[in-house]
Formats: sequence, C-alpha cells, structure tokens
Amino acid sequence: MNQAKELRGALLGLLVGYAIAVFLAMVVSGSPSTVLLKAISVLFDPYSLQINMSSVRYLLSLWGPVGLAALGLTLCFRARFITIAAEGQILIGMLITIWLLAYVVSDLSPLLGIAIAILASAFAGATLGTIPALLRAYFGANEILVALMVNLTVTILVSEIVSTHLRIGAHVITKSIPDHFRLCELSVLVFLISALALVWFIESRTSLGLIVKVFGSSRRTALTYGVNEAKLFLKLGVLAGALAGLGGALAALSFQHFLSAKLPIGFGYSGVLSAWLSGFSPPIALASSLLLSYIRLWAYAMMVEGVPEGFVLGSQTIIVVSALAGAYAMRSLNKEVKALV
Amino acid sequence: MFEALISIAQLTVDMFTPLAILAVGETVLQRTGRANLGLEGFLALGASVAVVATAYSDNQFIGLFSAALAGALFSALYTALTTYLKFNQFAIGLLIGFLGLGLADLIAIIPDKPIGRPIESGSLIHLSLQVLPLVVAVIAFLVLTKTWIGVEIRAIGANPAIARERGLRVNEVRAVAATIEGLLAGLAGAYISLALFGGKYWTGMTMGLGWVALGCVILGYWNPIGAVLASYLIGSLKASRPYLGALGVPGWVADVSPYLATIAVLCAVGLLLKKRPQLKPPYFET
Repeated sequence: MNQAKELRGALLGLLVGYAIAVFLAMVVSGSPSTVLLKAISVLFDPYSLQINMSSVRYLLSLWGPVGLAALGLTLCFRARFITIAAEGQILIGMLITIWLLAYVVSDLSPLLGIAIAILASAFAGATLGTIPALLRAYFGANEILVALMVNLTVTILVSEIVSTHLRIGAHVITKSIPDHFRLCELSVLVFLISALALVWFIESRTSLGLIVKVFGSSRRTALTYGVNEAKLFLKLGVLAGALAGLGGALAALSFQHFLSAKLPIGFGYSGVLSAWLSGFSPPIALASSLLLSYIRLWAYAMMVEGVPEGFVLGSQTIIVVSALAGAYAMRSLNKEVKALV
Repeated sequence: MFEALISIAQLTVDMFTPLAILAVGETVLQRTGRANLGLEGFLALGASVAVVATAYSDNQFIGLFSAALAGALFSALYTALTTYLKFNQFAIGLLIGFLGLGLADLIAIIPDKPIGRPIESGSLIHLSLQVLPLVVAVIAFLVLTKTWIGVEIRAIGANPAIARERGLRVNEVRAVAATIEGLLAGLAGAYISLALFGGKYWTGMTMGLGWVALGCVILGYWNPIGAVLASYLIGSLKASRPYLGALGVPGWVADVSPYLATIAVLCAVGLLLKKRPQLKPPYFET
C-alpha cells in the first residue's frame, strides 16, 4: 500500500518535472508552440495520431545500452558494490565494435562479424569491470572513485584512438560500420529481454544470487559464513561490465555506426541512475531505463528546435529529481498521517 | 631549459588556478564525509552565470558575486537532496552536475550580447583570484587542524553516526561545507570564462577540470594544502604537454596521468590503512 502511494508520488513528480523541463525548453527555444507540441507527441504524429515508427525505433535503440548497463548494475548495487564504470564500458564496447566491423573483419559474413564484435565488446567491458572490483577487494579502494577515474581514462584513450589511428580524412571521424552488419531495433529488444532473463535467473536461481542478497543485507554475516568478498565483487564486476560492453556493441550496431571527435556520452551514467532508481529490481531497472531513454529522445528532438545540447542531460536531472522528491513527499506524508492516527 | 620551466610555471598558475580553487572547496566538503561528483556542472554554471552577469552589468565584481551565488544555491540543492532528503550522495552529485551543465548552456543563450566583460591579465582581480586557492587552503588547514570546528568536521567525516550520537551538528556542518564548496566552484567557473577565455562561454569550456579536481583531493590526501599542491602538479604536467611532445611523450599520457595517479593513491591509501589506521580518509556513506 505504501509502495503504491510512493509510486503515485513518483509519477506525479515525474509529470511536474516534465512540465518544468518543457517550460524551460519553451523559454529558450525560438518556437515555443513547436516545443509544446513535441513535448506531448514525440512518439506519435499529433495530427493523424498515428505512431511515429521512426521515433519508436530510435527509442528502442537508445534503450539498448542504457537498459543493459542498468540490468548488470542492479546485481552490483544489491551487493553494495557501487560501481559506476558503465560509462567507460559502453564507450569501449562501441569503439571495439566499430574497429572490428569497419576496419578488421569488414568482409566477413554478417552473423559471424556481429558475433565476434559482440563477444569482443563484452570481453572488453568485463575486463574493465574487474578493475574497480579487484581494487576494492584487495586494496579497499573506493570503487566509485576508481570507476570514475577509469571512465575518464577510457574517454581520453578512446578520443585519442578516434582522432589518430581510426581517423579518416581531414575531419576527426572513423569509418562507418558497413550496412550488412547493422542490427534492427527489434534485435535490441531481444537482447534486452534475454539479459533480463539472465539477470533474473542469476538472482533467483543461483548461489551467486543468494550470496548477493545476503551480502547486501548484512556484509558481516556473509563474511562470517565464509563468503569471499573479492570473488563476489569480481564476478559481479565481470557480469555488469560484460553487459555494459554488450550495450556499447548494440549501440554501435543499431544507431552509433561511427565515432567522431564528439563522443556519445551519458549512456552509462543513465544506466547507473536507472539501476539506482529501480531499487535494484531488474524489471523496474528496464522500465526506468526506458524512461530515461525517452527523456533523451525528447531532448534530442528539442535540440532540433534550437535548445542547447546540455539540455539533454539537464532535463534528465530535472525529471528524475522531481520524481524522487514526489516519492519522498508521499513517504513523509504517510509517516505524518500515521503519527496523527 | 630555464625559460621552458618559467613558461610552464606561468601557464600552470594561469590555466590551473580554477582547478586549485575547486580542489580546496571539494577537500573541505569531503572532510565532512560528502563527495560531490557534480563539480563539472558547478564549474560550467559559474562560468555561464559570470558571462551573463557581466554582459548585463559590465561589472566584473557583479560577475564574480553572481557566479559564487549560483554555486552556493546549487550547493543548497545538493545539501537538501543528500543531507536532508537522504538520497544517495553519489547519484545526486552526478545528477546535479548534469543539471549544472544543462542550465549553464540554457543561461548562456539568454543575453543579446553574448560576451561578458573579461578580467584582464595582471589586474588586481586577476591576481587576487590566483592567490585565492593558497589563502583558502591555509585558512582551511588551520581551521581543520587547530580549532574545535576542525575537530568537529574531522569527527563527522570519520564516523558520522557516532558524531551524531555525540551531539555534533552533522547536517549543519555538512551544509556549511557544501556552501563553501559551491561558492568556490562558482568563482572557479567565473575565472575560466572571464579570465581565461575573454568573457565568453561555450559548451565544454571547463575542460573536465571538475573531474580532475576530484583526483586532486585524493592526491592531496584530503589535506587542503596538499590538494592545492596536487592541482598545480597536475596542472604543470598538462602545461608541459608541448615540451613532453618534443621529447616523444604522447600528449594523452599527460592527460590520463592524473586519473591513473589517483587510482594508485587510492590503492596506496588502502595498503597504508592496514598498518596505520590513524591515516584513515573520510568515510563516504552510500
């Protein structure tokens, strides 16, 4: 009952946040009426009321990296292993996929090429995932700060590789993935559902899932009963990293077919926020990542109307913080009512 | 050789004063057990607000004051969400950082005249801003180590739960520390737009200094003076990029070295703690 009320508060806050973001976009854009119209009709045509399939397809593509990163992180966060390395893992996944398919194995059959790229990206993501896990387990280094530094290092290295080794011509831009390797949006959905099933299976049907739950609720108890913290964090870091790396590969295969000087940012951090907002529940993490992807899609549409680029990230914050505040307000209200009774 | 060193030192002080200002502010906040991952947004907001304020008022003091005020207001939002509403400090830090980046872009397109009044190199304001991190670092160091308020701050950072039990004003102290950090971050942003880039603002002008500052705090081992020294050390490494290039060292090595050094220090801290627990850094609640 209380959870339902909190959810209602969160939804109300979400709408208020969306209204604030729309208002801000209207104020700064050259055409407020168009902004208002797009605010309510990103996914459908406002005149014929038909679904705008290209927007829906793009939304599904954007959902891929965010959703996959969020799914892996739900397990990490549940075990109180708060890594935020997904940003770098997604970026490295994109880079490896583009490098392999556009430069190395561009003449392979589509199935084989895509399989190689996906495996390599997942492996790279998993490798990056081990860094915060190992340093936390063996050195007690704060995994959030380590992951942040890893993200920044990866961003600089990817940027360097794009602007030197993979650059073609005068502009800083890589080759594009050939058409025959590109995936349709439905395949992104298939990957998301498969990953959800995998995470659900691990969480509820394996000993790792049980250990995660025990460790999350009481670290001391888990350690007393012989749980190996280093091994646990390593497994979770590898799993979350592989999923985020896979997300990067999917992004490259579905919508980000090349990289330029301006690297695509924020997908990993959106995944972190989705996992955190979900209360570590995989299905809710998928739902919240869809919401954040929708906000991103809407903000991209606003950019066409002259709203600056930073608005993409800013609007996300306004909406998420409003939703959180709504849930909090409802929770506080409940407590006060209970106290009065 | 000597000329090159002088040139590097000058460039370091000119370019990386904002980094030092940011690092001191973040150190003060982190000593209370709070880490603000959104510094990049604070910096961008300060830069943008300073440009708009000076564009309208044609007065640099108003620009600096507005930027500091914007930073302080943003800190109030951070404090409200993390300290009073008890949301996860790291997630909120990132969110507020993104909001700062977004708002900075939005604010910057408001004025008809998009260029603010720059701070001339060598002017009194310019020199004052360059001295600011050193002065604040010394004051913060003395407060932290020689006063009761410092003991209170360190106690809160070491173990907030026990500090609360002992009757210390955890929330209030954290709010004040966050406000100081916000003020300084706003000023650092104003320095970037008004003193470094001639009163202009554009997306990405903060050069990732907000992220580097987080590393400087750790490299300085949560000591305000150490953080300033770490900032100038990293700054000099970045400033010596052209010279390193001439020696055959790729530019990206200078770019990634602060982050790798931070990771190394975090590991070293872990190892040290096993032998000397009194060196324990602040405890960050998650």
